[in-house]
Amino acid sequence: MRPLAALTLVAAIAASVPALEQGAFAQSGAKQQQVKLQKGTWWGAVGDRVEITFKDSLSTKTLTGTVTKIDADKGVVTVDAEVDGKQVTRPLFASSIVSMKTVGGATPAGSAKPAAQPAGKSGSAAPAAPAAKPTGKVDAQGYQLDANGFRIAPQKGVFRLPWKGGVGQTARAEEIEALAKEADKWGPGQIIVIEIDSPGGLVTEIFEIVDVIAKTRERHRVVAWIREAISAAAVTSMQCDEIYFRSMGALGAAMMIRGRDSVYGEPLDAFRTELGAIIEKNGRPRMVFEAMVLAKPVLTYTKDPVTGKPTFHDKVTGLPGEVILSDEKDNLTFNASNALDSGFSKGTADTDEELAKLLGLKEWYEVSDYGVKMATNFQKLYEECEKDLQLQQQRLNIDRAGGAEEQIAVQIQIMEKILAWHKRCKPCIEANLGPNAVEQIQKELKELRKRLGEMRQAQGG
Amino acid sequence: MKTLLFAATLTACASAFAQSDAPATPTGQDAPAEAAPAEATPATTAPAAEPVKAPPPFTLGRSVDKPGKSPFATDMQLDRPPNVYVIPMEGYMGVDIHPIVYDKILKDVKEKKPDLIVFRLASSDGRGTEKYMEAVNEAQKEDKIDPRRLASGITDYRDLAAKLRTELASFPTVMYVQDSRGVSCVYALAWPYMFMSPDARIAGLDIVAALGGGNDADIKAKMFSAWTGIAKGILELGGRPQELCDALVRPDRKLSADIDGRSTKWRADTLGSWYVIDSTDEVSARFSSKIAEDTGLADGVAVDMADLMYLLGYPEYTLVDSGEKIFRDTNAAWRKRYRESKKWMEDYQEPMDDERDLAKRKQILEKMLANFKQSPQFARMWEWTRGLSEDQLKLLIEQLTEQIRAYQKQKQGTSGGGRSGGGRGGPAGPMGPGR
Repeated sequence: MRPLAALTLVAAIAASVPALEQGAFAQSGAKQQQVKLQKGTWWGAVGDRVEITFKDSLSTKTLTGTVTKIDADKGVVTVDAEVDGKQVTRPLFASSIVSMKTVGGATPAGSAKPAAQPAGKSGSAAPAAPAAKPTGKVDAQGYQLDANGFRIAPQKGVFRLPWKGGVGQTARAEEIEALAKEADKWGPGQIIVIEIDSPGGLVTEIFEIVDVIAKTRERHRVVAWIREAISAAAVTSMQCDEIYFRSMGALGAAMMIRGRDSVYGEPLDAFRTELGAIIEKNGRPRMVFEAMVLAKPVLTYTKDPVTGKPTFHDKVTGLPGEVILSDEKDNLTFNASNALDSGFSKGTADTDEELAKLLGLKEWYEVSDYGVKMATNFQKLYEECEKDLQLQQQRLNIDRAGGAEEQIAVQIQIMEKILAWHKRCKPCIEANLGPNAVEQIQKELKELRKRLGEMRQAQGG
Repeated sequence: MKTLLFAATLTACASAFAQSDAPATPTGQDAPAEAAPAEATPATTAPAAEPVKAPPPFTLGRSVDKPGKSPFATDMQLDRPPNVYVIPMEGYMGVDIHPIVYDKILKDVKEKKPDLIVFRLASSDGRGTEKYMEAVNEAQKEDKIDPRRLASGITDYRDLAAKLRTELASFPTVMYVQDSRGVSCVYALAWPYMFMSPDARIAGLDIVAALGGGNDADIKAKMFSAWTGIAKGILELGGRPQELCDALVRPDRKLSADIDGRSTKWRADTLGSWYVIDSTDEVSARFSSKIAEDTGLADGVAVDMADLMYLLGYPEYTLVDSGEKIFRDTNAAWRKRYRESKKWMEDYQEPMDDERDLAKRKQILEKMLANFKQSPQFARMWEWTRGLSEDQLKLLIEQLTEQIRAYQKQKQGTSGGGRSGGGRGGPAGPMGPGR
């Protein structure tokens, strides 16, 4: 028995996701999967009770049953159904399915046939489609709400997040999580586009990021749009459902480093094992990640001469048409053309409109500007803080004309300024001065104030 | 705007050629109902009913299957000479070729609405030589910027190229390379249609590969791959294939070509049936205009702008030179101040006679700071040639202020000298070599 929440999820997603132009199965990694039908799509999961109309030789048949398997590679949906009084297991090619709908709730508008109530499912389940009918209710911000209490967008669109700068600095898990929460207000099945433009950064942050993206993907479609995704940003991209490149995009070079040295041993092993497993779980070959981490692993690909389907290899095979992406001295960094050709990316888009097409949207529409505002404001604040912090630290070294007392007074002023920055932009202060720096500053500040007080007292006395 | 007209004989010859070599014109386009705008063809003597017409005499070097709008007359099918807007890219990458200039130019382009845009690239990163170390040594001389420093701005160059491509996507665009050595090669190849002047070269992009570093093989591989990957991304804007991009950026890659008619297949080895461009592991691939033309990397070799237009199929064209003016004026203004500022800083370095000179020094630095704030190009030139930043200026000014105060206190006979600080041992003050 599936919980009601999951059922609601299926129904809402089914209502909100338009037909995609890509392969039959756009999201094979998540629980909820998309199946491209002859016309339109179906979103759902194994265990869903569905009504399917399909072409069988020259006739069109309808059956109601439970989905037992969704094969992403072959484009086959397997259903347990009752046919002529017998329980049968029936595999169906998605391309033969004319229509498919989850029958967990109200019948879609226009359908004359009432939906069967699936066993074990509550009758209060959300409608399968369309969910976005206004109820007349509005939330505090004035948005129209649907029957599930979700905001209604005028049209299907995206939630955009500019993810720029150092990972763990201005490119963080926090913004992804915050935007996912914002998207939740419109219900599950939203498209979150993370515009990645980052030279990489902290390894510690990457584990948090992959965790946040994994949780977000349980309810939304997370897309990486690559301008620059080096190192930790490359790993971030590979945790997303789909990867698209800009023409000038670059993604790769993920070796762990500290200063001018590579990090080896246990930290690297953990990095390779844990993140390799996550990337593999997302349907991307581990060997791709391995070639990005160390110089020695080789990565090539060949394409099936008939189907054009690309296959990665971790050694040079000598097969005709083989393309070497990374040799034994090299680290893998994809560009738009070889990422697309090898199947690593799903497309190349330089403008919003181009990406909209690839995402299966009629046009580019941003449901909310929350992500853009949040990220750009934070990036601006961080840059301002970092610049001023460097200046203030150097100001500490300037000899003051007023003698020791003035020297201490100015030092106090500067430290108070740094503490004020800590209140406004904690990540910047911690990244630049260390996580315990504030405690030390506070301690030193206390000492300086004491010294200043003593000096003034001595002068007064 | 100035109008250029070729000799009447050439026009006549072109018209004759056009008639014989022209692709079939769709019915109804033979005689445009409207005459060409008067201002576009002021020198044209043809009556309004018979405007100077495309198609042109030549389609020389015209390549097939290129992304973007074709600048060739045969494709544009204008019924009058085109208005051609030239966008210069001259001088140092990241300094003269700076987003601030192109923001102004983009605004102007949108006002002028030209038919065709020509990027004119002449940037050799201040090099007089192709050899990398000689270039670095030369960089030590006055006002030369270390090519590695120039190359380190590659993500900025990428973003500018992407911006120009996006904002000008509705215009047919062609790159005219008068010279491109060093990191500017990314611009030479970031547009699909490219012509070169006879003595132009495209060489030295391996400077990007030199940006890497690190103490072991894996970090070196990472840095190398990241930097070269970013550079190759810019080349991909021009639709250049991976084999070519690799060979242009990476010294360890080879390059040859199989050529069949107008199509070139680049090979990452030396087995090409036609040309071996790069057979060494020492340097990256480099192109003279001849090799570039022979291999189809360049669409042709043009002696000058008029020749370029002729090769594109326009015996006549109207030059819109306001872009050149914006570029020249913007760069001339900060460069003038930069020349002056070098004199200011020489004065700053002069030995001091007495404490009054401290105030003069402070004034100089304040003037410098004002210019830093006013012109990012001025600031970058100082930072890249001499390592002077805005923050350093602020600190020096603050130090001077304190020293002036200390002198004043000394003079007044008050206690508490300026040198009795908290014992932090700051950097050398701005007293300069005079004391």
